[in-house]
Amino acid sequence: MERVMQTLRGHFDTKFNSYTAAQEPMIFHCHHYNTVLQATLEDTRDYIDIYPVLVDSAQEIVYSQLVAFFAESNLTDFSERKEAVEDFFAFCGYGKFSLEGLSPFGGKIIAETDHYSYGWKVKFGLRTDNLPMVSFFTRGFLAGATDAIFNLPLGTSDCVQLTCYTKGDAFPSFEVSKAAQPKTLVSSPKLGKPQTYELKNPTQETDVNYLGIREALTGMPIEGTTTKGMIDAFGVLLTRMFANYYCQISYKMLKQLEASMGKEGLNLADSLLTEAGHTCAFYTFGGVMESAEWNGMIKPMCKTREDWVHGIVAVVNAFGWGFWEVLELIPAKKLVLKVHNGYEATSYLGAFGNGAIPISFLAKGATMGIMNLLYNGDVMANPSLTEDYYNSICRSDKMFSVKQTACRTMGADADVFEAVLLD
Amino acid sequence: MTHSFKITVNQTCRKFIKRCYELSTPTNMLLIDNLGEFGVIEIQDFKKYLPTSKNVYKICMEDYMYISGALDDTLIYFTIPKENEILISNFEDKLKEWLAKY
Repeated sequence: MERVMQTLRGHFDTKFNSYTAAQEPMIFHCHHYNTVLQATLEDTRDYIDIYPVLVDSAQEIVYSQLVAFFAESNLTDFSERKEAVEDFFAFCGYGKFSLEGLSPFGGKIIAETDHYSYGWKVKFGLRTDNLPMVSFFTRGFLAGATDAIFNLPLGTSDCVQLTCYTKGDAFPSFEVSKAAQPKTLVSSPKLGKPQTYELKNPTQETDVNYLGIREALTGMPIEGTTTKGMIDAFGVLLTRMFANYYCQISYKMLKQLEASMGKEGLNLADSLLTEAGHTCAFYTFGGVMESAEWNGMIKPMCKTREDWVHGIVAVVNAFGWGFWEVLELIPAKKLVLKVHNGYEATSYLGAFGNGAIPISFLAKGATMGIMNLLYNGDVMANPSLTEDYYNSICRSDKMFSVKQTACRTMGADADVFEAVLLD
Repeated sequence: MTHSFKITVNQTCRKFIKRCYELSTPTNMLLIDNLGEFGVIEIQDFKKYLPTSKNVYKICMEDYMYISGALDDTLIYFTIPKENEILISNFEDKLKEWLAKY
């Protein structure tokens, strides 16, 4: 059973620079991005029906993954299936629960903890009465897992959240039941349209060892604790999240906004999702650059501020986000990044095919964030990564702006991002 | 020579603060072993992948607090819930005791 569960936990593949777990690409993101992206999407609730998107996308992906995993591993016993699901949930840093009382008809699940519920509370505090509880991902996860474990058609089960840290409750809890009407859901795009590439060390401009950093980081045992199923690393709460989950919720939002508002909706989605990526860079990359792991592994290779840019790009190559390389760096003025097999384009191509606009919003915002952290602010001086500091360096008149100049979904061989200083 | 430390305090989120201690002398295993009474010591052996690296330690007291840093480095992080003066004082006593030996 141990070996079978290991299969579901997945592995890192250097050919794709990504993690794969039962045909699903997995990537690292922290509670800052997870909650900010969700908050960003929630902000569109007056225009589109966003809450089902957050739940159903998780249900579709988890169901697809588990059906593939149970078939591959010939796992037919319901108890063993539940055990594997509990292990995977905790391993990924989503939290911890027991599925012992779950049946094909549903059941109540009391969680030890839950990443979204806890992460939201520590970042944003309590929610007001007029807003729902926040663990949409876990609701979809539990509904999709129930469908898969008991061989039910996708969309049979539904899940509501009963309690949440963000409402002042002592623990999160959920109730799975049969959906009043079976939901019409579609399978995950799974691996999408992946692209192979080879990571190389930059030849002249830096001593930062991209290959060594990737080997060290992908070899680290980054997994949820046995007690809480949370990953506290690099100063943030990490998750091994489904790349397709981020992409599905983001692109469904984009397409719904486009359908309801036309080009204006597309522009709105672009700016919202890019800003979520920008925030991710500030907190996640900033947290990494102020961590013990950075001080031990990366800092000894860095002689200049430009080496810090290379250092964080090297670290990203272990996140499962594809192959990131610096194409051009003019200190304090410009950064051009090229990304092969970026998870956004890979997923988009698998789910929707080619598109009319560049869609790699996370990477786009992150490119701008790297420059704002290092040249507009001074992350090397170990500042507090607070909202005030974010506003002072990332929302000032003099900050870096960014554009995506090439995208695989538009026929290019890679995604390219260019951040320049606004005058 | 008197050894000492400088402190900066960073807010990491609503619940925790990260106290960053810059020591006048680099850390070693003796200090880490002394700090082991605060929780379980974990060492990340980065040197086996990158000889230029320093190994990294983390000392956790469940989900309540943790101490982290790189061995042979002057920075040490103490991440705790806000306003726990007793824990801070105990931690700083350990640092002072160790620094007095150098």
